[in-house]
Amino acid sequence: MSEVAVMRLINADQLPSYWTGNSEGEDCLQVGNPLVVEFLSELSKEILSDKSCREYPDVITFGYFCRKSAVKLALEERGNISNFFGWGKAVHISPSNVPVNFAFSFVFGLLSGNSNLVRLPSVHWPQIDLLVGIIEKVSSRKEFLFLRNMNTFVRTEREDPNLNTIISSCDALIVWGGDNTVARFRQLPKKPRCVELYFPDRISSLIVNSVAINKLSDDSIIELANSFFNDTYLVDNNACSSPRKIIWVGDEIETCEAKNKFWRAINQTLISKKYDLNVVAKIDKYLDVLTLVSHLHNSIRVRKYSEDIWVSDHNDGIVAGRLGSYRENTFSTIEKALSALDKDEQTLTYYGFNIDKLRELILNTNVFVDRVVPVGMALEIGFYWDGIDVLQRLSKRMNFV
Amino acid sequence: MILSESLLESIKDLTRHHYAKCDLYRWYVNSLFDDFELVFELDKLPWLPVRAFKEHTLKSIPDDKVFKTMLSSGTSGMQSRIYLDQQNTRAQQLKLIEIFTNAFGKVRYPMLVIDSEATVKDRKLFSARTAAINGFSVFSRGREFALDENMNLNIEKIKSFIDKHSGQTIFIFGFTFVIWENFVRQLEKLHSTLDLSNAFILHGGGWKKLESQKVSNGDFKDRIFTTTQCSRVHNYYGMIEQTGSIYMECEHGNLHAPKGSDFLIRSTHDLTPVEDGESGLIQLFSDIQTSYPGHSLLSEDIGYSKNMTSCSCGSKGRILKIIGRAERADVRGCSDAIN
Repeated sequence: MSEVAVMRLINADQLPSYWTGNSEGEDCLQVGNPLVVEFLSELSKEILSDKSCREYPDVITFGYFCRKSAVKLALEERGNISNFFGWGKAVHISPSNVPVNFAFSFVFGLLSGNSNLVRLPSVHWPQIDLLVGIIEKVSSRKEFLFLRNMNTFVRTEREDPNLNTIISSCDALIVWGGDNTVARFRQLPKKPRCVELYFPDRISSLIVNSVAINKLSDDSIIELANSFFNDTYLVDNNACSSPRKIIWVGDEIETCEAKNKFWRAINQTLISKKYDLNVVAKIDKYLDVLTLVSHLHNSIRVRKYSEDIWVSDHNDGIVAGRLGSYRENTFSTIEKALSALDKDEQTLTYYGFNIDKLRELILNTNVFVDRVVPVGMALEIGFYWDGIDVLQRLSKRMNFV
Repeated sequence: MILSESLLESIKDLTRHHYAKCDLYRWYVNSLFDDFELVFELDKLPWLPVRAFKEHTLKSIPDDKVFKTMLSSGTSGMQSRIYLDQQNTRAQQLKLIEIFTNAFGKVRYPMLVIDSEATVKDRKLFSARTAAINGFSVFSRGREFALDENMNLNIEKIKSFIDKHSGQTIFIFGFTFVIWENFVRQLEKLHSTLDLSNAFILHGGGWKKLESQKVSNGDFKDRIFTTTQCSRVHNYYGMIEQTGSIYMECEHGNLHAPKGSDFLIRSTHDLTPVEDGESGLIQLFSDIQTSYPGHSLLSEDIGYSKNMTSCSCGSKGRILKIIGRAERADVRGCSDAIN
């Protein structure tokens, strides 16, 4: 078998052989192929034991995601998968602003049995080089060499015509990005049977029980603040699953106390973590407010706990929060709070509620969020994302009657 | 950080004025700032990001009073739009005259513009370069353009202009990067020199392009001297959003805040004011903006203030040192995916 680098620049004459049809190997496998599971397991071990990975919590999270036990659990949930196979050649367009997203997308495609061509973001995040390097290393072991003929990571220009050519011949396309990016890729010519998965811009919220906050000890509130930090500031409060709306449940006096306690703890956490948003982005926040008030034709009241924590309680249907700018609203009961959620929200993180009670309430109302997770888990990507069962969509089921 | 006391009242008056006349400004101020009537420090008064004028229409005059609209050079994307009535246009001119005559005297000079005449021909839309060239032309008695429409040096034209005005002081004006690229560098390539020992050069527009070529103000002056024998070279700092209120470089190489203007430096970490010598974002105050809320602007330039009560040049204006532009780092998140 020839030695192929997993990482390359894209060029029509440099396309991997599996793409051009000259491959010695296959372009699709069974869902949950044992060697793929083994590969992910080895990848996980390598990441979790690599010193330079420890600097990046997102890389570590990815390492845990690939553990054998986690992968097996996801597969077992699906029962008998012996007649499920990948569609063939999958192309992944990963977002430039979430460094490790490309790796999760790759695993989605790989575990579903597809061969993958992953377009890396042009932004050179250190996490990307680190992970591609580890993938390169693990895949060069003899038993995994066949994977090198099926999987490629590429860097291209934004409008590289080669990318369009590749998309025109792929069997599955996975696009992560803003609405404009999604619109652009939807328009490109593709094979009639091409399976397309899009993950566009979304909005997410946090629902908090005021009484529960007021009961917290000093240590526990800091612990909560750390979890909230991981959901938000870790990605500059700019990811789709980062809560931009904070929904308080409680009476006015309780909630007022809880808000103060909560945001103060967040502020402390930001100070201790030396959080420092890029200065141009700090100015962007002022411009965001200018844009918002120009749409509303009215002012909003922004409370600044610090330059990094802006909270506004306007309720005009527009959520412009990002970069540490939040909208918060208070409701006397959880039922009222849930009914205030927007129709197409992605992640609802919660604090101070019982998940069983939340499930029951949500299933009995017209709330259609994609996922409900405790604070701290907003960014933990899984095989169900944006309401999509990813492994199922990226594979075909052979039917025997 | 010392800021002129008298300016506080005029900036506050202007804030009050724009608050009453510009809805968008009022909504913005109400959303983000403390009640300015209860504030007694310049740094607590509302400010707008300079970029606001790129994305929004901000004016405090009715449409039928708009006398001209100025556009920024817009090298990177959107352009600022500045709406002026006759009064504000006049105020800008007067301010510029005051600053210029303080530096170079109440004289009109033969003016050599290091640009093409084509740059000033479009009278409808005023670009930054058009505005600057026309603005400084009030100090001219006879004007000549050194470059042809392809921005190439017209040596013959320049030489005959110098001959025609021999014995007089010539005022040379141009944008910093145009003087560098299309004047100094072209003279060097042609192995040609000029005798401009009797001239002074005024230039502005920013150092971004020269910085990328690692050319300092010192290098710039040296190479000008070698090619033209001109030793009086003055830079100015200003922006289209505060046209007129420019910071002039004195003979000691210091940029001074003009009368009616001041600045403060804000920390890039938490946007609070910092001490002399500490670098941060430059906020600019100017007391002449009546037709648009441009009297208190936060720029995206990084600089620091120099602790010097007076400069040996005699100017009382506080000294501003420019370091460069704030860099936009990659913000995380998934909103803006492919690039």
